[in-house]
Amino acid sequence: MSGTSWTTKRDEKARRIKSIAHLTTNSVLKKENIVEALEHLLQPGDRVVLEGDNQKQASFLSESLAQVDAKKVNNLHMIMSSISRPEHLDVFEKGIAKKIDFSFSGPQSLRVSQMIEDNTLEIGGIHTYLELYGRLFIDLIPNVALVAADKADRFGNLYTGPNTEETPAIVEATAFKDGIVIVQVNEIVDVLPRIDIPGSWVDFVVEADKPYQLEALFTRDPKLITELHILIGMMTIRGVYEKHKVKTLNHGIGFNTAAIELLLPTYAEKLGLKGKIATNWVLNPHPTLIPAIESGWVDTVHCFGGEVGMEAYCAARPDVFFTGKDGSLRSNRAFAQVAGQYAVDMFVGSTLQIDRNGNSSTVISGRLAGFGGAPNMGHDPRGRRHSSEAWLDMITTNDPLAKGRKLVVQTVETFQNGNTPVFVETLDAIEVAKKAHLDIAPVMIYGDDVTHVVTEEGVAYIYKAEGEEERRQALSAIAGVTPVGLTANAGIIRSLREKGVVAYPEDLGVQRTEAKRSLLAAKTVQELVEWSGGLYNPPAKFKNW
Amino acid sequence: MKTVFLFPGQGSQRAGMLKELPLNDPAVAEIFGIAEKVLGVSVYTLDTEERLTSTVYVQLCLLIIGVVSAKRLLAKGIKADYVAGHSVGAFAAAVVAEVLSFEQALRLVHKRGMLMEQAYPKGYGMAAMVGFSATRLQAYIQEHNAAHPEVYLSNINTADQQVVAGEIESLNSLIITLQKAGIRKAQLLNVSVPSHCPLLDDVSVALAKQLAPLQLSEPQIPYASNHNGRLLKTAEAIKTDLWKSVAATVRWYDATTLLYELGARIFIEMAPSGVLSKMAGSTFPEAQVIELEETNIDTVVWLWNNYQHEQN
Repeated sequence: MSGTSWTTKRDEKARRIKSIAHLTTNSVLKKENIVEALEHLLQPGDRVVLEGDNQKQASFLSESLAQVDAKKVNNLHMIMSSISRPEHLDVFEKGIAKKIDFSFSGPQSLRVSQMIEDNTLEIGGIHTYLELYGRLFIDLIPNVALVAADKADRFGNLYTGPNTEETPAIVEATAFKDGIVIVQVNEIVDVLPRIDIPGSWVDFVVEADKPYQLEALFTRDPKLITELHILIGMMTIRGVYEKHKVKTLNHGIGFNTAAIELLLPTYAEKLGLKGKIATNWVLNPHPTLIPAIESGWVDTVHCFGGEVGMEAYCAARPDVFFTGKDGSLRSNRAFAQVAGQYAVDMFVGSTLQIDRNGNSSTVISGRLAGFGGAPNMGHDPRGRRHSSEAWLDMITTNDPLAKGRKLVVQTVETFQNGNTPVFVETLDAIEVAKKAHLDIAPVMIYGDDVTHVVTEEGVAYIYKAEGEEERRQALSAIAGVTPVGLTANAGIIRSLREKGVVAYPEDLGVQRTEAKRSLLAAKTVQELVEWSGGLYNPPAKFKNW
Repeated sequence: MKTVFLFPGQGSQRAGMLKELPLNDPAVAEIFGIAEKVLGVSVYTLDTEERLTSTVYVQLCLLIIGVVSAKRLLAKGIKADYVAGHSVGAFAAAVVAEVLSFEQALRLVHKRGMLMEQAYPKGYGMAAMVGFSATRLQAYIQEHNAAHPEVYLSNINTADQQVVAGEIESLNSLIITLQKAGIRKAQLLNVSVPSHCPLLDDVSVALAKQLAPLQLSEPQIPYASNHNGRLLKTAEAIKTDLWKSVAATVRWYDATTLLYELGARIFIEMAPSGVLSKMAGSTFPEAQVIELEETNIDTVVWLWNNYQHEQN
């Protein structure tokens, strides 16, 4: 129709960019002008994606956003995978922003709960990472993206280095739908080591006053791995990895999985499993995986993000890690999440609470933490077909159309620290949902997606359980002396063990007395450094020797 | 790296704690002078073993020493980004935030102590519980209250440390139930007033009346509240916390967690220190927790400056 404009977004973008012409040289913004620039580039009610996941933070831009005048910029709809820094919520207290869609808020979980109760913050949804990234292309298309990179050149080309993470996904959704892309960089240089994001996707770069915040989130000090973790690790290796021949996988962040990583070159090697299990990974560069890599256990690792201190090590092992022409690691959170959900045999993680039906959550006692990658990778994508041995081993019927399923494994001790049972009648998440007026209780992994639960007592093969009742009995059988475990009945346990729905250490050929720290390939961070031939450079707080 | 001043409440007092303060320090001399003028007695008569059996004197002493401690640190150039006082400690926090004058606080705390002492002369008390989460403990309390005189969750101090208030017989029977359920520790405290629960509603109303006519100033330092675990930034909100909290659950775990989420990484506990430092240390293993004692003020200043330096 004549008179209809089909370029309103493009025109608006051009208008906003023109309005700060006096502040820019090409695409370079000066840091002292950033607040003024944001006041022009942002309009009330905009959808703004602010980069911040559990590791990398566009910290200069978030601090700058918190300084804009709320009379000029207000009611923003924020989209962030992680609410991590105090100013992420200050923008709501100041009225600059009103609504938020997010995935994880661990470091600010109490404040998030309080602000929802006080009506200072309105939640759009708590999403899995992939839903959040996906929605950036559907109904959460950003007007403005605020992201972080290591280096830029003066044309706006970006080098994101080992911590590329989710920057490309965010920038793509914004740049190609006439949104404005603003990037903070640690430095502006003449020549970049490599280009991770081309300058034509970027509108402005600004050199920040200090490097963006980066957390060493995936470093687990082997010193803190207990014999209980080791016992659970041994049973998981025998009762899950070996039994189902699991070759491709993702590990969570906990000490249980760190123990497994350190048992591969020792315990699993002795069992003759090298090359037969755990060869291809989607995983951040966990320092605890170094001994397995050095022993030739690991073929490949694709990463969500980097890990502080692992840069030189990853660069020196390009056969294992994905690296650029410059030699350094290339990570990509969106692709790794896709791979972790859709391309691996198994997810192994941990949790704080599991109910009688196997639903689990880390949201406890009034704190609205959300989740990291677990809900995404810890579920069975129903339509996926996959013919690996591990998947096919999950088939429990004679149906000619049966297609196997994703292995979703929870490894937990029956009690958390301080005598708090992990197995509970009802998840705290239900109460939290009521208080925070959430439509959906913040469950991390749904019981019907879980195939195995491993505790220090044994393994529950709940994918094999026939019906809800048997499933509950299988969980009780490994829930120890928690209230849920105390309901277990000796006769039923015996029959579950005979049917192979439950296995205790002796059923798996695991000796409880063998679960010693001497089994770990590295017992300290220092030993990890030694395994790496000095390439791993741990952050100061882990250098305790 | 932000700094919090923590002000201890009842249970932290020690006989002779005011006598240890150096009179040649101008902050000590100033505060003692005001206290003696308002109370009409020498401060050294307040902190004797015998006097400290009365909650009135305990509360007055904690107010005085809390304010003195903070003033000495501020005089040395230490900057507080937040203040948080546990129970009666909130009055010292409000003075340091410049919401209340010290004179006003002395009169209020004196009144508060008298009202509390008269409220429940016999048969009531409090019990400390260690090992369960507040949610879990609350479920036991609910069940217990269906068959016994009501008891109340009066303090939530850390993830697994709480205090319950009410009638002593009823508390004793709850203790037995919890011990059977496997709680790590459950025991009566040497406290005769069932604080921070609806049994003190009358005290709370009387305090509100006392506070109503006072002309308060807007806080210069944000204050973490006891009764709802929020950060308070107005005189009106802090006034409300001061009267409400005497009959409401002390949400210390929330209040301090909130400060941590807001960036607090240095927690300095005013004298007599120990109790709140232990809580902060166990709740925030990555934070710096400093105990102020009367003798070590220069060490505290040195540590604080060092932490500031480390960050840059």
